[in-house]
Amino acid sequence: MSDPVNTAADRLSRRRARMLPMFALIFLAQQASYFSQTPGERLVDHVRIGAWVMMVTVLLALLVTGGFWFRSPAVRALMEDDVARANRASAITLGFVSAMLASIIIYVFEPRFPLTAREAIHLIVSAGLATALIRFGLLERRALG
Amino acid sequence: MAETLANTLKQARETRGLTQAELAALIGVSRKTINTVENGVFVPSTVIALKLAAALGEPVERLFRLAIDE
Repeated sequence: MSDPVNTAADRLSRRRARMLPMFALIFLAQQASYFSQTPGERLVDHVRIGAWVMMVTVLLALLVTGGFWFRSPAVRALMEDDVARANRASAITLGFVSAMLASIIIYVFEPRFPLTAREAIHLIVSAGLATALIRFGLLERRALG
Repeated sequence: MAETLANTLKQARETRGLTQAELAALIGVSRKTINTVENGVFVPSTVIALKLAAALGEPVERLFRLAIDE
């Protein structure tokens, strides 16, 4: 009696719960390449910066909307139920706290470890986004049982 | 003294021979919602609580009650 829409929503929710922390870890791993070779004004540097902006935008959209944009509205509605919204709110709150803590640390240690504005933004966005993605994925996994 | 929401949803569902997915389909929510409500992870909205009660044929206050932890 369980309908195919519910089954699909369950399967995709599980996939999302597995994917988001993985995306966060891949995203964090990519930061190492940025800081090992700070971008300059070469064409390749602009491509790297553009790629980072694109990646952050996609990850943010995944976190905020839940992803699976080309699935049917019925499946997406089931995936974006009250539980998912509560989990997302909790994840975004923790992400915000994480970004604020990163900002405070950068502010306090700036004289000792000077950073460019771009590097500081990189760190703050990475801390906030990765924390929120991991938290959302873990909460969803727990909810799915 | 903290108040939590206890429920007998799992017993009521199993008495009627329904799986979580089947109950979810009956009231138009995800299986995840049923699972989290049963485990006390998620406090359902009034609408969901009333739908659950209607689907299981029980008064809502029999499915849900306040448990006071001391």
